[in-house]
Amino acid sequence: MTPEARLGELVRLRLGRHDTRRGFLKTALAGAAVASASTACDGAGVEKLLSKHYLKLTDEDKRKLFARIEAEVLARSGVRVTVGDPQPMAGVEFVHALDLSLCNGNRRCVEACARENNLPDDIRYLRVVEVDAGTLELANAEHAYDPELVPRSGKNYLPVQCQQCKKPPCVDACPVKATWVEPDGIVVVDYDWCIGCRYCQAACPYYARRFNFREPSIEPSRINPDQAYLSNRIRPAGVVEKCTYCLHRTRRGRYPACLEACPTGARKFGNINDENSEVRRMLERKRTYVLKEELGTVPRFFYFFG
Amino acid sequence: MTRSSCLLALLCASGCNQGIEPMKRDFADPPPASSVVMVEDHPALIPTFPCSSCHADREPDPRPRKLVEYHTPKNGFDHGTKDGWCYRCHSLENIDRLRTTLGTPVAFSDPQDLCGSCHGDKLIDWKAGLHGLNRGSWNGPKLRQSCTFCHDPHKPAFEPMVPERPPDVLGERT
Repeated sequence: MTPEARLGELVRLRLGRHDTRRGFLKTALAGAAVASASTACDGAGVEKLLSKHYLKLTDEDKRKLFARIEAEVLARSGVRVTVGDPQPMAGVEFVHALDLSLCNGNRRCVEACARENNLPDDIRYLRVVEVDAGTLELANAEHAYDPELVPRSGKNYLPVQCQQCKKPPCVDACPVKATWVEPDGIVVVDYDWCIGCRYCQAACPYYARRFNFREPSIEPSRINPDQAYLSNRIRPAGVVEKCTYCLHRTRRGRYPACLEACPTGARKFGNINDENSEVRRMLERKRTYVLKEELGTVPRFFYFFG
Repeated sequence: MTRSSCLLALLCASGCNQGIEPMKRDFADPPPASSVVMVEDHPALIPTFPCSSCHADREPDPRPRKLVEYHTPKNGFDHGTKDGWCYRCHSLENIDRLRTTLGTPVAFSDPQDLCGSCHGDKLIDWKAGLHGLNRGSWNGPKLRQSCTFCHDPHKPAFEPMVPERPPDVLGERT
């Protein structure tokens, strides 16, 4: 497929119409102009435009902001949600581990994540790739495998998601500091601060970030009402989002949704500073792997063979 | 005023480039120790449990033979060598007990002691929380399930599963 044809196909898919690149840009620019004019007119739009970075918000700001988001969701979809702001716990650094000998590629984690994090149908934070058994060769991995039953013989399955790096290239790439590493190691995005330039997406070597090409449409009955400002609240169009280790759950002591959904128990999660945690024991006893170690990103996501 | 300085002034006014310094954060309370573990009880695997409901008045017959009634496991038998027979794992002396490879009696509620007598590495991992499903809380009480929650003891390998739908990769990879 030529780049031109691919772009045309993408525009058709994402925006629901045939168009050329020129036409696409024209529409996009005109749309942007109209959108900015209309947001400038209504009060909430101005408020949004002048809102502060998450790290600058006072408790009072947060209260107002979260109430506004809750009201917006209620008006749009009729669902009463709670937007919370759980804080990192002192002395906690989250680590996720995955036993590759148990993963059979059933993608239950992918769908559980989508429901937990209010993802529209075209966005998934997790991707399970199919690799030849005995290799972790990502370059030749199959992303869209779709046999009747998994696992296929001669194949291994490798779930990939945000690795919550200690030295994240995505954070360095962000020109407006809309994404940063939290004290507990989770890399978060302030969706209201993100300008949608997608530099972070290009910088991430794990293909962990996703872009909202359009206003996310989620069936009201599937909206998870337990939301947090930095994780699973419904994102606006035109911003980048990613896995946050379900911080609205994990900062309250629960396991991430992907872990609880895994029927083979391949996922382990916990505080690396706690010597009784599963992940600490995993690191002490197992031979572990990280993806693309040579890049020096220092992931907080480990793979092992149990 | 040049155009670029206008733009800069506008940006400053709207607060786009305000310096984002790491602020002093209020941390939540540190988590309690994560060592509390409970093993979940689980229901009987077959409707005729306990075995003594039929076997109490019968002499045990240790000869391997083909069983046609009541004993036929739902998924067939495929565990270890093909000459496997009931009394490799079920106790001949007390039909309501299991036995390890060394003959130590094991209660049905603690199958891990039996399974671990062959799969010792898995037992060690299970005790450390590295094998099996984790339920509960990463920093609080955990619920651990024993082997037979997930594995059919007569056919312990996982059945193949129907995968969820593949991702829409069009346009994302060339």
